[in-house]
Amino acid sequence: MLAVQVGLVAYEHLGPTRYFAWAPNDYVVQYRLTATVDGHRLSAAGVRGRYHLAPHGIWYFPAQHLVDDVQQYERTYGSRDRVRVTLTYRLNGHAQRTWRVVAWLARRRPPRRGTRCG
Amino acid sequence: MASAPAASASWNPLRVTGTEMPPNLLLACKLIVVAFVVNGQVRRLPGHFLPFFSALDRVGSQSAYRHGLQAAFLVAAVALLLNRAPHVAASVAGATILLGTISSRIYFENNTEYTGVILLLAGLAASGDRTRLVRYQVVLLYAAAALNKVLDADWRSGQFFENWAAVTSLHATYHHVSSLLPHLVLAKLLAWSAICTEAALAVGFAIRRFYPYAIWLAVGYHSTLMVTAGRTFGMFYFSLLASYLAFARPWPDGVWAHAWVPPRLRRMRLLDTDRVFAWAGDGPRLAVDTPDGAVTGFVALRRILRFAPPAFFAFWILAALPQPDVTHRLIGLAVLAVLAAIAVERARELRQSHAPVQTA
Repeated sequence: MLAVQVGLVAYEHLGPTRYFAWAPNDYVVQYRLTATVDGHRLSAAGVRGRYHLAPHGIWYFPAQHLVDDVQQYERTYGSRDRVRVTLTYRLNGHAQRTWRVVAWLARRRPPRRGTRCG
Repeated sequence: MASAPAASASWNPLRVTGTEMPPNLLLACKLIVVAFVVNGQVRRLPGHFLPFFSALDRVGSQSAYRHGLQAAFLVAAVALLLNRAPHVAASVAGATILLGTISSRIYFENNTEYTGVILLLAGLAASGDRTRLVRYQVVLLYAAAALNKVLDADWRSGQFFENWAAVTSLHATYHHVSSLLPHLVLAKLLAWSAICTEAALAVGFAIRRFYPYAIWLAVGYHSTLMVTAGRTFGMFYFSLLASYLAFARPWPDGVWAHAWVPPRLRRMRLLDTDRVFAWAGDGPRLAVDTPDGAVTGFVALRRILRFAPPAFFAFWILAALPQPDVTHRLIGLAVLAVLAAIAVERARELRQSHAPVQTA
């Protein structure tokens, strides 16, 4: 079990996520998350209900965790919805960045999804 | 360490001897599960929602899954507290938390992961040096935490700390002091202090002769963070401090020392739930006659409290109760005051041991 953790620590340093890498509270991400589902913009409660995330606040893990959460939701539970999600965030006070996802899997359309990071 | 058969184990939750688990480790596990319950963490155990492994999405309904985790944890916690099959109980409690962690990306936090890992490792170490897995885990935690910080440019430059300070409630004080210095100097100083402290803790907890210093430094470090941030970082404060018991002096097997208390402190005997002391009637002042020598006053109090599970429970419950930031800060300050007193006492001991012997 300890050896697995050592492996995970090494592996996680190859990417941006730091899951299971013992990097507690090493990041300050100020973020805002908005989403439009089937043409309707979600309220704050709607965002919270859909992703179980606060619509804005401070996140003490890498911002990639937020991206992963939204992406996994839209790939699984929300795969039949037409959604546009925008995540704006500042990592450790650096310039603001924006991540967007547009995804839908309508019954008569081929799956199409796109992500953009700016 | 005591390793009596489980059949002699007491049902008293305040006792930690008489089971197959080393008393230090059993006390650590009990403190962690008590803090987990008191802190409201049982309610936070998740159903499967955005799991790390998609197969978990197919295990029953979310609410049934969640209630199952909660029930499993509570049964294991009660078994631990009542000294029933502590290895199995600790393993189940830890596995439950870790299962919750991989069942929901939203639930994932290092502090709950650490809590689960410590309980699981304490449960799995059933032979040989049974504290070693927990000790290795503590070393791994600090080594990995220091590594992540030192590899992060924002930590090295002070950029992280500058922004972290801005979101804590002490930002006004920080920015006042910081403004007196060149840009990012204070932030860099504090960030490198954290990196060096965590690296030193990894080394200190890896080398036996440094254990007492590492424990002192670690408790001081995390209490300082609690004072600064006004929070315990979830379960971190409780689980970390409890895990240091794996490095502490082994629990005595039977009566360890004679103790005297003044009449007004006679109730202190109630703290000795494992009968580590032979209480030798009333004395003019608090005193303990240990195999290492006789001590009085604050040092004697420390010796008694070291083997007093009720005192540990009282502190963990007090600290883990949901409370305002200011109360956390006061608790942290109280701990720092005790650490300062220990340092002063230790310095005095060292000075006396190095003082020249005067002859008539």
